[in-house]
Amino acid sequence: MQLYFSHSYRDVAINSYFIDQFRAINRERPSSSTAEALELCADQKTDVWCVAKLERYLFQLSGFVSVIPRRRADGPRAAFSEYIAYELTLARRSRAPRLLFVDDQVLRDHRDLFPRDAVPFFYDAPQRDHDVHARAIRTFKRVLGDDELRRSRMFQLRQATVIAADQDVTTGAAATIGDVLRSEGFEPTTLDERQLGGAFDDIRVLEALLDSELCVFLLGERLSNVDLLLAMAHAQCVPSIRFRYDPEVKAAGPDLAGVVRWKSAADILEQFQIQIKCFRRGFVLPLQVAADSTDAARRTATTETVSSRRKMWSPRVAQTLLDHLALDDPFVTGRVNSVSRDVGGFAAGGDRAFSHDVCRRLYDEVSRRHFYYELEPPSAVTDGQVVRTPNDIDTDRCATCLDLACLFASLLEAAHQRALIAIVGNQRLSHALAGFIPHQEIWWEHEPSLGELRAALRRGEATFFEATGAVESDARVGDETDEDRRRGEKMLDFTIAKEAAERTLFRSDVSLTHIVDVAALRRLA
Amino acid sequence: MSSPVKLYQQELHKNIGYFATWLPGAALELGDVGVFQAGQFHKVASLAELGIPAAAGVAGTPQTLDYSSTESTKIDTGAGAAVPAAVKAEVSVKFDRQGSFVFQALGVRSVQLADKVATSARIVDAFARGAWQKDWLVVDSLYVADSATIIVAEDESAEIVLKASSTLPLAALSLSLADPSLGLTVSAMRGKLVYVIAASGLRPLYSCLRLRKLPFIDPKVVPVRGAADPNAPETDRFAHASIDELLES
Repeated sequence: MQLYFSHSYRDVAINSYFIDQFRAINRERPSSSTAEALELCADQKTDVWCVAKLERYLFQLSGFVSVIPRRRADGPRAAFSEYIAYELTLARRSRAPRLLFVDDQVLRDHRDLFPRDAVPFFYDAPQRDHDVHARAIRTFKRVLGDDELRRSRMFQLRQATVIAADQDVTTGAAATIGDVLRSEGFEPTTLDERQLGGAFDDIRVLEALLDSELCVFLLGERLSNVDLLLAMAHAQCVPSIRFRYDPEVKAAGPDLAGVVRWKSAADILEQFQIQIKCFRRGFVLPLQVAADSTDAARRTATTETVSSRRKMWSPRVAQTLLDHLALDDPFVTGRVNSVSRDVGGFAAGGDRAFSHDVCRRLYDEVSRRHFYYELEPPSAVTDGQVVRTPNDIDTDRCATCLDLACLFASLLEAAHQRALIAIVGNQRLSHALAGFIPHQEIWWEHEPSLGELRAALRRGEATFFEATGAVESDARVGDETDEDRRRGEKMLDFTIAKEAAERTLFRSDVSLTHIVDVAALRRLA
Repeated sequence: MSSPVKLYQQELHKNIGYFATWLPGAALELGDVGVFQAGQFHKVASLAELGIPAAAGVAGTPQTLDYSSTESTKIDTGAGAAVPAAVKAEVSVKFDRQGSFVFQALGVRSVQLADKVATSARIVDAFARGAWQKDWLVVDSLYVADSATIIVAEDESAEIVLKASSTLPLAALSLSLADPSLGLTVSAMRGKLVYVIAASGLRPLYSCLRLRKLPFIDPKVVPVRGAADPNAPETDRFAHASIDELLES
């Protein structure tokens, strides 16, 4: 029996613990009613949030297992992933048999948000309640053994229904969506708003939704019967891709509820292709490809790139890192505007102390998001690396050192600071650091050497910091210590992040691969 | 400048990013104005003499610097050797490459010009009045050492033997040849060497600034943002001098 395994990618140790619990139960001597093993199927982490795929698997798999750990929060109450919470609401709506393991602190702080059958666990020592967890899994296995428990969703394979609001742009988009669906092997039927007059009472419309493998909703600017139909499909957990026309939209990509806002034909075509590609990707069985439960949890948490928007950087041309700076990205402008308000505007100062204060505040802005450190997405290209945009980082909730160095360079430049990116390494490592030069400081006319960077650090003319210190990591990433990470609850205070970067730059076994002075390169460009 | 000295300058600059004062004992002060000549800073005036007030900032924390060229330098302190009680301890330093060096300094403090923004503005003003030459350099930062030992080999193979005032093995007393309490003196030498031994008050490292040589690329559109722009100081018209300028002078 295959189960939908909803979990927080970053909490590898917790995930590994529960994967092992399921393995142990599967190894127990089978009784006649519980002979079939429980297999955890996970949604491989990708750069795309596709609600339709989750809806699809809630019916396709035999049950739903969720592990919900805490997130650090600024307030006194424990937080938890809004994405896992959304998966749980989908599961509750679909009436899928479920087993929930919830961090005891999360459960205590949010009792009313979870069903009463949730089983608590201690985040720091889940094994303390090993017996309780094992008993819950055994009971769940017995329940799943009852074939009559749940009927599968009945639908026509390859049938798709496109429902479009009565606006020129949405009806035009419906034709494009239909063409893409046909090219993907679907048989689409398009309903426009004029056919939905009796949506409440017309059983044919409801059956069209229920019989479809996939529905696509093209919502207009205003509420209409198309929104009503989407609500009906949503209540039935019918796999649906949702688009809303919004001529003011700035960011691409779906929101938490899976709604993608768009304003041009090119936008909706690109986003639909990404969503349909993601929808058709299968869940993975982590243990079938991994050496052990920890490896399984790590593999599932490694982002695979589905979106074609992601840009590759070739380390052969350092200057092209400028292409990966995104000053007008909504995540960047949001953080920079917040810091601008706090410091009284960026014209309020230009000395070392002011630049340092701006940088520290930007760092804290990122830290508050509790993103986590991750390696780069796998790629078949050997002479390049995918770099996440700030919006990608915000969506994926994770980043590499290079993603973060580019993010901080974007933030610093948008805050009228002179941003630096240094990439140092040797034959075994390559690591990106972020930094800045205060406006009044004097620099070189040539690209400085590592020795000259060290001199600049000694004179206080430049500041570098360990950019990954602003995200969570169980182990050290750069030249901080494990103890630094432990004291900072997986992250680093800005002062510690600076010290770690200086240790990296003063290591005798590294050389400077690239130094990118953003302002200087902009001038030359 | 001879090739060995170039090697010494290059290797030290590669590690620290500062210029090595040459000759090692040369007097150098913050605010000295001059030009590079044959691999040395050649003073022509000082900021004070040019009517440009310039003060030193607060000195940094004392530190120890040790940047010997380890691959081609061997220091033998006699650790473990049986030395008769009446015999003074000796240390032998052997070099097997031109430009090999020992650079050890104790109580090293960094000092910098205190207000570079104001100093830059005054230099720009002096330049506009014809009182400052385009190729002049100003020493903006230097290291002052309580005590330093610097030995540079000018021959392919060279050796210097230093004798301490103590009879104990040097390794048991101190790991630094810059330590003045050892009372080190030269007892023997082979090959051509430049050296200062445990000298006090040296300025072994410095950096300097000059007006930019490359044409400053002005943005196509100057931001309209008022008169008091903190992000556009005169320091923008200056650059650090490079090691190539020193070596090719």
